[in-house]
Amino acid sequence: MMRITLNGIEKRFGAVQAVGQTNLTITDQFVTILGQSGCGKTTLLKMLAGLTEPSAGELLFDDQVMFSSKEKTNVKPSKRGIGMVFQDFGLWPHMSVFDNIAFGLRGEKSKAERRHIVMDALQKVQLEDKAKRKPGELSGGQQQRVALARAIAVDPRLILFDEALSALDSILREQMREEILSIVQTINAQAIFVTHDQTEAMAMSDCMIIMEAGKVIQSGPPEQIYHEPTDAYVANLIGRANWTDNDVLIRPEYIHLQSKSAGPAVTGIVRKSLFEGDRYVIHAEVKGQLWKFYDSRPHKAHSIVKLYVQENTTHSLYKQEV
Amino acid sequence: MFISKHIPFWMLFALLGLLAAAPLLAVLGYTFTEEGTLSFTAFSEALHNERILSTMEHSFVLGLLVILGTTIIALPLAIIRTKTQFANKNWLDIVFTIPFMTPPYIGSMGWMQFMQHNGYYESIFTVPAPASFFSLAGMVFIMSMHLYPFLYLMLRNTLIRINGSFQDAADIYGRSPFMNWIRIVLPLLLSTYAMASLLIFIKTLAEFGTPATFGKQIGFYVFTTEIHQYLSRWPVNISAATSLSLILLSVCMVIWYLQNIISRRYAYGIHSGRSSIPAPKKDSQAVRIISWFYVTVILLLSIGVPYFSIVATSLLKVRGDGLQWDNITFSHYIELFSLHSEGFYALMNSFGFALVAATAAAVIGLFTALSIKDASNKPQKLMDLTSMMPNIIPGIVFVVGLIIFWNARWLPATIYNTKWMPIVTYIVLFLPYAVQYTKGSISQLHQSIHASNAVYGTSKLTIFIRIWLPLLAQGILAGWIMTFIISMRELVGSLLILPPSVSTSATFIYSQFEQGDAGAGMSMAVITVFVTILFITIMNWIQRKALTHS
Repeated sequence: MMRITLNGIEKRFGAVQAVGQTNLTITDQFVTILGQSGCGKTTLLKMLAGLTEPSAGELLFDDQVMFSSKEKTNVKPSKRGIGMVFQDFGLWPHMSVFDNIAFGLRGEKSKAERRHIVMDALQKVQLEDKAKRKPGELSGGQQQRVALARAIAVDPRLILFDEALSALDSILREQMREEILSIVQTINAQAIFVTHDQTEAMAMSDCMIIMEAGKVIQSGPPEQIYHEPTDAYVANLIGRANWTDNDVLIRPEYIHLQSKSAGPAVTGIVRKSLFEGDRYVIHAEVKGQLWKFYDSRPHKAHSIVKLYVQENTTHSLYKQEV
Repeated sequence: MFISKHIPFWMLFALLGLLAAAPLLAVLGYTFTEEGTLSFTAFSEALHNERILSTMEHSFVLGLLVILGTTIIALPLAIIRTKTQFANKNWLDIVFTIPFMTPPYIGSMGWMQFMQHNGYYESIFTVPAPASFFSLAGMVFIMSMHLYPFLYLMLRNTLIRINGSFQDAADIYGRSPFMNWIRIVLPLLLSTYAMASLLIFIKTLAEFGTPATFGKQIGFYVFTTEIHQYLSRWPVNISAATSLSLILLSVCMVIWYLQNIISRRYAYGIHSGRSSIPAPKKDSQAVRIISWFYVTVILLLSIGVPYFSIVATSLLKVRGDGLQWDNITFSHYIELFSLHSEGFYALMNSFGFALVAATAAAVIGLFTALSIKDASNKPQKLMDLTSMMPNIIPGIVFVVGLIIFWNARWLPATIYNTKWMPIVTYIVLFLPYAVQYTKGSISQLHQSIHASNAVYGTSKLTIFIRIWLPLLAQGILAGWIMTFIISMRELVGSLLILPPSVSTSATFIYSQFEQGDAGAGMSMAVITVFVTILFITIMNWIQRKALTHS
């Protein structure tokens, strides 16, 4: 896999700092950049693509300099060996599906080769029969597949996904996740996803980069971010979080109704039980805090429950700051 | 129940029919009937008339050349405004609309005074002005300088929309910027360009101001000036006027239909959720110099020269004495603002007519827009079309129709030869603006607003007063201002339908210019333009305020 290095990359729009000085090294195959809208994640992605010029810093793909404010280098997007998939698909409406995918190969490959590559890409996304259609005649999911085919056709080392799934409905989204992962895997490329959907981020990546207000606040494998968030913002953004009165984080799956170890019990008053299909999420008030935990059966509101917190599963934010 | 519920809708429909449809039917009736029976003689005679044929040819040639002229001006401007450092200079768009908002007859008079013998060109450059300016080329130039903002704004908006992920995708997958242009930007731009240029063609055919001033001087007659001649010069020939009006009307309808086909078939949903102008890249020195030079030259030619001429003429005692300090006077303005002067009467008439017409149009427009809703059923579609007709059909055709209709012998009462005639004419001509602005505000509202009205509204009146009026106020006001501005300066209708001895600012400017007292006319022109700019500034301010509130 390629090593992507960001040294002090930043972007200002006039007086507004969209992305603050960022130092990052990305080596994983599947990476997500997660954050709420306006946090600068799309700007960061566009800087990787070369669509937005950073105000300062240095960007390297392995040892190749893509951008450097000192050396005044800025490699064009089309010369970076990347593909990109957009939220609104960005398929050129006047061209057929075939021409959309073949566009990136013009001047590089012969006509016969182009045909072969395009049909191969279309086959990977299961749309061989739609080659002659215009994008406007396809459904949203099909258009997104064409966009993916266009990206893999140029044989990129890196594919960037800008909120690529948020225009699709939830069933289609889950299906596309699988497809994207397996296709990127087969062509042995790297992928960076920008998203505001934390389940998507956890499900799709080996490495997550969490951004807030133009800054990277944490990065690492999803498990690490889930269990050891650096602050309350991250803890609340990823999964369900329960808090004790001294800022200790307890994830719901570590709260039990039976004692599994020597941990002390706390009492809670049930507020409500929500059915999630495979289990119930129980909301209970514990020492003035609202806790959530799971059980296989509902609990009546106002009933009192004894809760045991599994040992060595809590994570104190307070400790880390010391 | 059915009847009572629909009565207001049909009453409104009847009113629109009386205003907009009746005049057109009158033109048809007059042309195709002779003593109560169907007859095509008048029309076929017109089609074989040498003079009418050459008029048609003139109009078409002019229309095509103006498309060419506006393209040469507008396309580079649109590119400069979206691809260079000019991309974030939004104030330029307001400046670029000035030529379009300037009444064409005023702009044309400005150029004529600049280029004529002993004109400002000669006194500034002290060389004889090129006489070749007074030709078809000059006319195309003047009209292009008036109409280019329309094409420019449409092209620019499309370019901005392409700027989103279409452009990003092209940057990533395309091998060279040049090929990206040829294969992506140009094809996407083409449908907009085709639509805009057809509209330019219609606007050129329908224009009266420049042909009536510049065209008349060089003897280049077009549809509008010929219709005006047939109706205003002895011997009056109404059937020639109506036949010519019908030809003009048919041409415009065909083009409008073509334009609709293009927009339905080729206007791709150029919808990019994140279409924003990218942060301007640093331009190279050459690009910077060329773009500044181009923008400056266009502004100089489309605003600088005509406005300079108009203001200068309005301030000079004796035009022949040229630009000397001791030749400057405010007497034309003082004359204009002294009570009981002819100019003052004309100005007050214009204000009064425009005020009444704009208010009536705003009220009718509001109810029409609310009745049309989303034009989902046949009657609503028909109403939409009726209210938009004056936008498609040249004003002079409506004026001819209004004259014939309100002179019909079977009418029990008529407004002809009263001051209501110009008011009704302005309402008919500019109703589309009132409807469009209100419809625009409605379309900006979320669809669920209709559902919430239905669920929570207690009565139609409460919904109207508490929901629609406050929500649409800004659109209604914008429509009102627009109608007011263009009513104030409307020329061709005013020339043909004003009762004897009544004049408006537009007819005053025209007649003073014709009679050679340009100073008085031009000071009125300055006032007209000043009022226009003042109102547009107010409108922009209101719109900006509304934006920050929502």
